[in-house]
Amino acid sequence: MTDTPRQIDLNAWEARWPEIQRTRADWPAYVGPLGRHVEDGDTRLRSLRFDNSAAALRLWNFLLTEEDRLRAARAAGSYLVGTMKDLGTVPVLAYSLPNAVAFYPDGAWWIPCVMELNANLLGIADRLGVDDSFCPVRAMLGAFVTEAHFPLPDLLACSVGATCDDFSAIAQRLAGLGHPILWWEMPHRRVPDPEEAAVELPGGFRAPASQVALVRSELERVARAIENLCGETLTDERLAAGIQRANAVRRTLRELRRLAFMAEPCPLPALELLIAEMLAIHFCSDQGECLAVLEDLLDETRRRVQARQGTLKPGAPKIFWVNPVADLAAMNLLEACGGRLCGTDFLFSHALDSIPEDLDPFEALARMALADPMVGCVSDRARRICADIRATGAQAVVVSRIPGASHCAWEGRVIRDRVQTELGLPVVEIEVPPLGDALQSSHRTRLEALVETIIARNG
Amino acid sequence: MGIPAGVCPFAQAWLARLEKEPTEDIAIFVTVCDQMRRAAEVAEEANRPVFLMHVPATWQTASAQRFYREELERLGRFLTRHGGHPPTREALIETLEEYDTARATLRGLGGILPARQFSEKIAVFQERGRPEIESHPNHSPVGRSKSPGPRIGLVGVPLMPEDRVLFGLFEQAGGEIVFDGTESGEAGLPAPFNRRRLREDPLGELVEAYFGRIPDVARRPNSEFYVWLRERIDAYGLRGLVVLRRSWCDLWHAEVARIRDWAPVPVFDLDLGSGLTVGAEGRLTTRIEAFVGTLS
Repeated sequence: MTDTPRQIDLNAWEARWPEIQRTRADWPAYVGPLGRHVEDGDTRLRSLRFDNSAAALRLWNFLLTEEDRLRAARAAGSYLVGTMKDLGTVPVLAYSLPNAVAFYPDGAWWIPCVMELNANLLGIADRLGVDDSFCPVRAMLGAFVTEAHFPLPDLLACSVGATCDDFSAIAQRLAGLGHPILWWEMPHRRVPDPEEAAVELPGGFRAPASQVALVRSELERVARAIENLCGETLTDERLAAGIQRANAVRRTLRELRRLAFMAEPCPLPALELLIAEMLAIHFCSDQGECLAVLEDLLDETRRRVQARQGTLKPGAPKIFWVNPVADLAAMNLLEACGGRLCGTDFLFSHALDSIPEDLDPFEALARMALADPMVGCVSDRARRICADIRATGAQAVVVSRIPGASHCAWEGRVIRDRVQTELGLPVVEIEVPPLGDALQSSHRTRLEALVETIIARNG
Repeated sequence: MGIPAGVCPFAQAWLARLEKEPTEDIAIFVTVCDQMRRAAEVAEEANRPVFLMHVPATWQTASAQRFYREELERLGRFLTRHGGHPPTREALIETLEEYDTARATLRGLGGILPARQFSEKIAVFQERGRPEIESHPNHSPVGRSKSPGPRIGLVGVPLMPEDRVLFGLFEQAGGEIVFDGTESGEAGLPAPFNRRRLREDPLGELVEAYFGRIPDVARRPNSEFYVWLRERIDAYGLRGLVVLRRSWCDLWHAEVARIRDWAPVPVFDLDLGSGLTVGAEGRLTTRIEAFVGTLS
């Protein structure tokens, strides 16, 4: 594939599939024409614009075939661990055993978008008393009821404590429907008291050693449950090797992000970068293939950087994006408005940092888990966002609110104030529902205004 | 101090009230809900000493209980840093016993006072931070309402003073609220202390009576809430249950459907929204009448 990088629609991809099939005969069997996913109900794909590289096609196919992989893993004798809310921690434990596969039922929050509400998962959640005043992750309830989007896990674990109430409440509702949950505690990360033993966390935070000890003991408890399920022992050696494999994925993703955010012209569209980041939290149910998919995408990106080619015009205004979007089309919209993604905080920055490899592995994992931006003060998160903005050179910030997510009300203001005070950058807040078509005109106006502000500032 | 949209009315009221207090006064928050956890950060913006205590959501492990105890000890150190004096062991025991006795007296009023007055007594006791229980003019067995209407229980979010109008609204509709099991009512009272254990390990008994026994819906799992509620439904002879919630209180909101599925009596989902207003009260009256009608 030597085409000039650009974004194409689904029809263009369909037209190109025969050619790709010829040149990439060695690809895994899950790679196929994107149109087949539309036939399966993923109708939002018809509205999206995709990167035109073969690597991106592989990425999309990898994402959209996860359910098949989970069912195949079970058929092959592996155990399925459903992990909720921790975004990047428990999967490292699970993938350290040879016969465990972890996935996030939380990921169902994108189904209403991808299937354009046709799966009626939100309707089922409504009937269960969890209406649209909750975050779209309530779609998870519908997915458990229908059993049509992922196989029911053999073990379900959920972190609670310093987590958003939406999620905790929805997970408890799930437990009330008869799905047993292993709850594990995540304390609110705080500043160590004077003279209190403290440790450094990935991402630059500090936390009291006592909190790390609690998280460690909780992770050990989760590990014991996975061991019992799988009939395998999670030795320190196995966990250390699992951490190394997770770090390989994270390293690859970090380099991909660096190029995607900073190379001129922009070598990779925002939408594919968002998908790539999402893979890192649980490896999309196949750790080895996840790494291969990301390496392929990184190779393509490097090739483009070397050739000084990109999917956007050089000099596109650089925008940092805060929070994941319930509607994938929002990433396309940013670029359609002339902006360029230049840094992200999709609520799991701890899943992108390297896990320390020079510590006891459970200690290392506990430190990483406690670095979750959601478990600490919003001001911590805002500080990290500012540091990341400085590193990438973003010129403005979009805070994308998640409808119904009560934490967004608190966070948006703190992040906006901090960015404006510390960096003097313009900030726009928008709310992106699972299907944002009705709001697209309003979002477009705001994003275009933001882009124009940056251009005017640049003179 | 700017309070953004999307914040629950209780957290808003708490912050608004705090704004009127001198900034050197200490504010203590707990992490039982995310709204209050976030509110602590807003309170800190005023350069006020703020202590945010992590109350574990999990409760079935020794580590969760240990962590709660460590948080209490940390609170003690915090208070000492801000001018407090660590109590002697005897002084701590004496204080705990004093409060325990007061709570026993308070509980005793539950069998005597009408539910509204009992609810107010608990609220005053919890808010004052002093163990004295004032006598009440209706402090006699005859003070209790003799309404023949169906007996109704309240559970849910903490009541704010203006919410107590609900007692009258239900009475006007022909029912009687006989049990305030909201977080500001009986649900927020710790278990009586075991005096022998209290003398052996005062802090340990404090942990047991509060962390070990208060059945909040925020706990994971929250199965003990249902055990507790079942006992209360039977003990009070309830024929209907009202679940109170407010805007942005996800914990209670998501629980309503489950309570309805589970409860042996009819359940009324009462969304107080951002607070009772005159217009809202009219609409509410109609709904309350309809609910009470189904119980008659």
